[in-house]
Amino acid sequence: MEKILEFQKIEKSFSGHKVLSGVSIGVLDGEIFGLVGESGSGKTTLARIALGLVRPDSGRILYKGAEISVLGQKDLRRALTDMQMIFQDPLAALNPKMTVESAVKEPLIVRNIEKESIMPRLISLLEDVGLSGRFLTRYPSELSGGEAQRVCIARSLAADPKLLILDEPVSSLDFGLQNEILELLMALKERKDLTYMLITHDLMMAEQRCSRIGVMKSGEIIETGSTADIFKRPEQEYTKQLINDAI
Amino acid sequence: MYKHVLKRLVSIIPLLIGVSIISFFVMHLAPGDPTALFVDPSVSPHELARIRSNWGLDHPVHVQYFFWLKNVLRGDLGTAYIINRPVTELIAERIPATLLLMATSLFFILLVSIPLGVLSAYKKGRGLDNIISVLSFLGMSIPSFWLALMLMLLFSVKLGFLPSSGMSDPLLADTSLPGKLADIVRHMVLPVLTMVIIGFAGLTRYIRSGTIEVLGQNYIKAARAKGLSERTVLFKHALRNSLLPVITILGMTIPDLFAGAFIIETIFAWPGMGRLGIGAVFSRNYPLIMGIVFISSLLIILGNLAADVLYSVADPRIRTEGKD
Repeated sequence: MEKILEFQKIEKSFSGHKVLSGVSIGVLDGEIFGLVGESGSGKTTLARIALGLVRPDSGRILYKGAEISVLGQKDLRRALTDMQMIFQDPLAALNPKMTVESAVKEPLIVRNIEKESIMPRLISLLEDVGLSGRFLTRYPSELSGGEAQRVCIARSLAADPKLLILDEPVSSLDFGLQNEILELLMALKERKDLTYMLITHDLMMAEQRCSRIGVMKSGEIIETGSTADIFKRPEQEYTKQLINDAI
Repeated sequence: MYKHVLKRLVSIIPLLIGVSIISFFVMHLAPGDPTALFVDPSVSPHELARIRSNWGLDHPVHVQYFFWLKNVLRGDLGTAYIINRPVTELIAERIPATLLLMATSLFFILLVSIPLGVLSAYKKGRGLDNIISVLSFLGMSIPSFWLALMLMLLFSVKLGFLPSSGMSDPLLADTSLPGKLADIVRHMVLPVLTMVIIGFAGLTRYIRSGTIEVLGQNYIKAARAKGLSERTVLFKHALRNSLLPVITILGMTIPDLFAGAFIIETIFAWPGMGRLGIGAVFSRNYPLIMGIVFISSLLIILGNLAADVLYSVADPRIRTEGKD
């Protein structure tokens, strides 16, 4: 399998505080790559760098083998619509003043989808995530957490992405809903041939869902490998501790 | 929603009564009374007593208040002393000029503040943000009367570009309608410019901080990830959300504009309600003072109510709460 996304020696500091130190990892096409680590280890910053939302201080980012870190803001954004992000808090990820229709429609407009096809595509996207057309007129304040996360997924799919970055996608949801959303994401991955980079602090979830894992600590990748290897034979003390804590 | 508006409309009545009680009694606390203007050797004490009696000033203050209130309930704000004309008529003559000045100033304040606030937030910490911040603080610190006089000195006295006072040139009374309108616009430039310079600063800062907060939200990051242009992200996603609190601030700006109009109208001899009010205060024209306070309060309360209603119309979260 080829690498769809690759980070090479990424460095990032905020106000003199180093957040990422020489991070080098790759996400293989079609896999679910888990990025695990405690809060503040730099996982979300790395995801935002991938999406061009944060510029790295140094290092290279390659998407399908082409370096995207050298592109200007405008070209980068155009190139990166292939990558979408699902945020931890779905209600904060939806514009409170936009209906579901407006939110999901925007990526279709950016992709120059013909006007007549937009409405059927919207309905189909909502059905893909287990919602129906009656949600189109709703505002985020009229949605439950689970419904809002489904809308966020539909919005991401509207951009026709190849890679979804899932940043703690279920941690703000009730336990019952967590599994529902994860199952939905797994089904969509198979149906739409997607690649996932799953950012989580929940090692059990990573063990169940990911094919490979990268462990982050204090802005560094300290261990990468197949999920089975990491869980059976963790090399680093920190990884062992994380696994023990999760059990 | 309609219930809420109706409730707020009903609450205006005790609020206006409260404002009128405070104003009426504070006004009478000042030493002396309107007949002091007639203290002249040619006016006999008997004549003065007759004037006081005619104006109802020989009654205790609380009785005077109830007389005033009874007349107000019948739609009569009384008759102005000396000028001897109904207060409602005097205010009705002057209020269009004040509203014209205020509405134009408010329009330009918004026109300047919104783009400056958004740009300042977008370029946070950079040169443009610093320049806008310095200008805003200058606007907040300059006293309006001083600015008005300086602008008048520069544009009217030194350069002679603009008229220094009034609302129209009496020499142009026979000119065409477009000519008259152009003349009014020329007379409006300096008072409006003063009110905009004083008024844009606070609003720009509010919009700046609101936009900075909104730009950090995840839905903005999601909007960028969708591939939207920065302009769309900024003006469609961020601005609509950051402008929401501005509606409330606008409601709170109305009293400031009224207060400002009193000073600006007096300096620029603008024939509005503010100038009429200042004249009424100096001549202790009680019915006129009360009439102006009453109408100003009513407009301020209605302005705030309009801001509340607008807020709920603009924010779907409040709108949907109302449905429950």
